Amino acid sequence: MTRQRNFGRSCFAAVSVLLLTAVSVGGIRAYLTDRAETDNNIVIGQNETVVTEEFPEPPDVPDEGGDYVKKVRVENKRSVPCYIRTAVEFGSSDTGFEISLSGLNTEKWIYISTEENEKLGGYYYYKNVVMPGECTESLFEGVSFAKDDQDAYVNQDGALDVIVYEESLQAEGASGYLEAWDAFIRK
Amino acid sequence: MYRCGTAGLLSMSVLAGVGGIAAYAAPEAAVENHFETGIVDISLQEYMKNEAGEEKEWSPQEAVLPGMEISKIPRITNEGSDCFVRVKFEFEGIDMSADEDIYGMDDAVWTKAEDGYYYYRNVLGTEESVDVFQGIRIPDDLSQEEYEGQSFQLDIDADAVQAANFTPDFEAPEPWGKVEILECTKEGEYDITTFKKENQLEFQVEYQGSAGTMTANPDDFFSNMPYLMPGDTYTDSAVMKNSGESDIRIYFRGEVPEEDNQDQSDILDRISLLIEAETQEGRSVVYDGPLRGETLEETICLGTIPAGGKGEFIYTVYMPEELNNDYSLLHGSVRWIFSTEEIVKEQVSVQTGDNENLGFGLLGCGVSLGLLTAVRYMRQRTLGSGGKEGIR
Repeated sequence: MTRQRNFGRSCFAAVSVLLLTAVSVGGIRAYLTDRAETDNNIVIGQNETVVTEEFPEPPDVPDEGGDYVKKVRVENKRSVPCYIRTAVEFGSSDTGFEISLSGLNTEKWIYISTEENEKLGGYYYYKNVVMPGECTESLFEGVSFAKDDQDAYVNQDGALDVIVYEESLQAEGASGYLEAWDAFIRK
Repeated sequence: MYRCGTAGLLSMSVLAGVGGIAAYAAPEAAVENHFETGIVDISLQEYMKNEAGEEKEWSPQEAVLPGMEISKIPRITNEGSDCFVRVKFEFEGIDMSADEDIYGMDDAVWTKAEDGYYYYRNVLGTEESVDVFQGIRIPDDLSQEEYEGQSFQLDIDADAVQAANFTPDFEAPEPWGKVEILECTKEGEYDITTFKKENQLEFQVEYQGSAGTMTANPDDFFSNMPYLMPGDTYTDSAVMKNSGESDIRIYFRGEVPEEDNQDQSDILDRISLLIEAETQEGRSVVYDGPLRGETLEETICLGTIPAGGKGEFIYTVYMPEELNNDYSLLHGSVRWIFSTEEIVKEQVSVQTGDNENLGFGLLGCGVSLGLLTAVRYMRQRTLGSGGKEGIR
């Protein structure tokens, strides 16, 4: 849209208009105006994961040993899609049994040893992103107590601690679990 | 001035009885001139792109995370007249800044001034849009202890001012100066694209002597005038043509149609009008005042147009720049009426011998015309009770 103005027809008109303009310059410049606004409330995510397990109260381990149910999973309790890794350690009590994890889920979890990767080693890494409210599949299904030598000493008064430690990391910004954890460790 | 003109006519009428010159009234022609004012009206909408790059309306994410780039596109759309726009945005509740944590702002068209606003350097035309930026970037070193689960605010303010008669200085600390920004006060729907646009019409008032009529063409002398914005000055003219075989004296008066007179707005009193006439007597200002002026209602003599000759009727409309949003989206009209009087030089035949009757006849005609003119003068004086002079 163009706006045609003819200023040249009359000197008198021009002078008059200039006078009008001069008067207005000394006054308030108002013009037609408008304003608009938006207020955005943005929430920063919260990352919280917890270990959940199916672990029926176990009886005392008989002398010949046995398998006990202990299904370990990790649940994403908050709003951030995340990657999860866990470390499993046994307590230092000497039970006289050889203890191992049974039903290890090597399809969804992958163990990286310190020999393989000094910085990332020592953890079981869950390969998939765990969305808010979801759980991982079980890392393992139980704990096995085995005794190769039937005459070996068994400490009936001891107790075994199975320590499961987990960490989670926002999945945003990484294309896979290794990239995400590697970038995080490097910081 | 009508008084002056009529008085002159009276004198001539009397003289007609003596010198043989007579004058009488001729018909009128009226035009109804319509105008409307513009509006500055912007909207601010927000959009985002999904993972496929498709644009959709902004919806807040459930949660944002350190290092995250959030697609967020504030878009200003001009729904009114051409305007300049500026924006200011600030974060509250988080240690982020517009300079560092906004991405996708086109530096070629946006300039940050010392007053904290980002100014769009171009005119935003009617129905045009401009994106302010493309998104925000959450710092990746955001403290988890301090901010996890917390919320923060991003406030975006957009201002607009008319582009007409307004020249920002983008190098100045305050490129718009001290303009007060108000929200537009529109009520109801409108479509700015339907507003008046300029035309290239030529205007004419013509006296057809043979038919004894007067015409004005077209019937709206503001047809070329686009909608008005504060500070607008618009000048145009009409040819005053005398197609008759006698000289004419041409007159003018203005009035406001009843429906516009009842309008609550004082826009007709705030818009200025300057009228000049170029006639046989030369060029002169015949009116300088508001569009609705009392003196405009009195008949003003524009001057004499010789037989077969032309004059010019020049008018300048000015909308003061101190008018604000109260004067947006208004419309009105004024009616201008042109009238004329033909000046007839009667032939006085020279006769020999005694012919006293001719002398008495001419004297009677002159006196009659004088009386008629005097009656008209008195009537006009009664109607035009303002008593102000039409010409300055």
